[in-house]
Amino acid sequence: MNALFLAAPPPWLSDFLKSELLWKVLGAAAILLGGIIVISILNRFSLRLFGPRLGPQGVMVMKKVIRYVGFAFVGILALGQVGLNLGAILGAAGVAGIAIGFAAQTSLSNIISGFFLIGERPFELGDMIEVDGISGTVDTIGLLSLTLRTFDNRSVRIPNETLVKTNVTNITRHPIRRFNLDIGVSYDENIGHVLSVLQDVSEQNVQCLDEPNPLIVFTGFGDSSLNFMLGAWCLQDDYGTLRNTLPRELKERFDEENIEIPFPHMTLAAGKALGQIPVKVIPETTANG
Amino acid sequence: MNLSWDERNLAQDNWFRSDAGSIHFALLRRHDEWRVSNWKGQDFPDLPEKGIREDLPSELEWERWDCSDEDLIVRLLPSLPELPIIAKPNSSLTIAPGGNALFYIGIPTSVEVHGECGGKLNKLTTISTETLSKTWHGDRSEGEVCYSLRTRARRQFDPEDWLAHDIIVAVDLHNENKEPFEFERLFLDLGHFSIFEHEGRLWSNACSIRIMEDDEHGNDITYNPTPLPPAADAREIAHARAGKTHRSTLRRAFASVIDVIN
Repeated sequence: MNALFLAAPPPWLSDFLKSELLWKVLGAAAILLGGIIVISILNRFSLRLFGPRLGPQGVMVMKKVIRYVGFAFVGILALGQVGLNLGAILGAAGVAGIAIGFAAQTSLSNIISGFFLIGERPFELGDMIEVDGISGTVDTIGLLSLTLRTFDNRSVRIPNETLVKTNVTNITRHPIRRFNLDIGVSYDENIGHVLSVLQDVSEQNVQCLDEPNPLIVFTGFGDSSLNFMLGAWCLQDDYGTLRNTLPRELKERFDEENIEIPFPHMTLAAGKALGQIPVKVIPETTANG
Repeated sequence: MNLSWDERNLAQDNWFRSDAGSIHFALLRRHDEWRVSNWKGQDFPDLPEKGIREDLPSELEWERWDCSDEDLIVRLLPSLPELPIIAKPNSSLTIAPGGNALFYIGIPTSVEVHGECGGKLNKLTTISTETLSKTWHGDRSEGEVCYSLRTRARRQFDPEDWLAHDIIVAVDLHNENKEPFEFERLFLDLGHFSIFEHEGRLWSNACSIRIMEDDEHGNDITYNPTPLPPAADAREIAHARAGKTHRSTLRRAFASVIDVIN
């Protein structure tokens, strides 16, 4: 046993221990290990410093950027330590980068748009937005695209570039919202009376906020009706309920007050408008003509 | 209003009924459960004030809470609305510079039902005697949801002026401005108000508010420990939700909704 320990190491091992390569490899390993620790500390520090300003999605992207850039930097340092010719590698990477850049223009555009969106923060995770006629809740915001969960539970992927180029409506940005209801009544009705009924119905509705005051306006003389608009403010959470309750309460109240809501009538007539249907009497013919 | 705020025992298969305003509710002890049912208006007009289970109409809809066999104690407690209120007098009142105005607001009470569960009283449910409409205190981007309360803002206390289920809050306004102050609305956070009972009527401790030049920086509010006379010696039956305090600041107590353009 002792002989085994006391014996001289094999020549290949002693050569390896004396070689420069070992120390280079150890140095590279130390750079990698130190780099990982530094990246981790940098991540935490940045989170504390910028996290509250960036929001959850910005934090996620920032973590990814720090990690990818940091690992690339540490990798280059480690390769340099081993003795690889970094100039050649970076040159090749540059050429490859240009080629990839041309090939992946759309992806790069999406990534850059993603950064703009994170900086601008027009919406947050969980917000309800409308893009190009598609409404839904923001599920994820990635570097390339956003995922929207529609109200019928479909998942729609929208490229970040589209979000930068088109109009995006954030429905739930503010705590209160107005529900606009257009309504027409018969020309026989008194405008003042209808306005006071609209005011009363909005005051009685539980979801409708007293302040800001409901907007009640006479919007004009329509083809077959006097037109009004009732804009009732409510909490975001109450919007769905208000959409159901307010029209129903308004209809019930109009029925009580005998206020007529006109609607187009259709009359079916055959031939020339409502004229008698012509009857042609054909004389009896004889057998021989 | 036939409400008692004291603890009472309710034996198995027994129930009692209480009324507050147009709201009626029944509390039943059944098996290992507390059961509460409430209804509005004139349904079940012949229902007595208490009885056994067999007397109850079958149409009643119940909410149920688990308890143990030995739990028999129940207590009703009055409470103020959970949201702050915006009190608006039916007609505005102008207070001269350096002057003060005392007025009374009646806030509809809610009734908390507490039942014994595992040997201690737990809140089972809260029943509002009136449905208050909501309003917004702030601008369109930021603010606070409140209940809206139209008030006659009586300057004298006359028992005839108030509903039996109103909690009477006395507010003393001091105008420390150099200009007359037109009182049109008041934001009032109800967390620091306790509820007292005096001769079958509910009161909160009184408060006084200093109206200062700059409403944006808030208005000082001082809470009295007790209601004003004639209820100064009233019995406290429900403690302040957010704890008692002597002095606080009301943010934009008199500010109207700003930045709202329809």
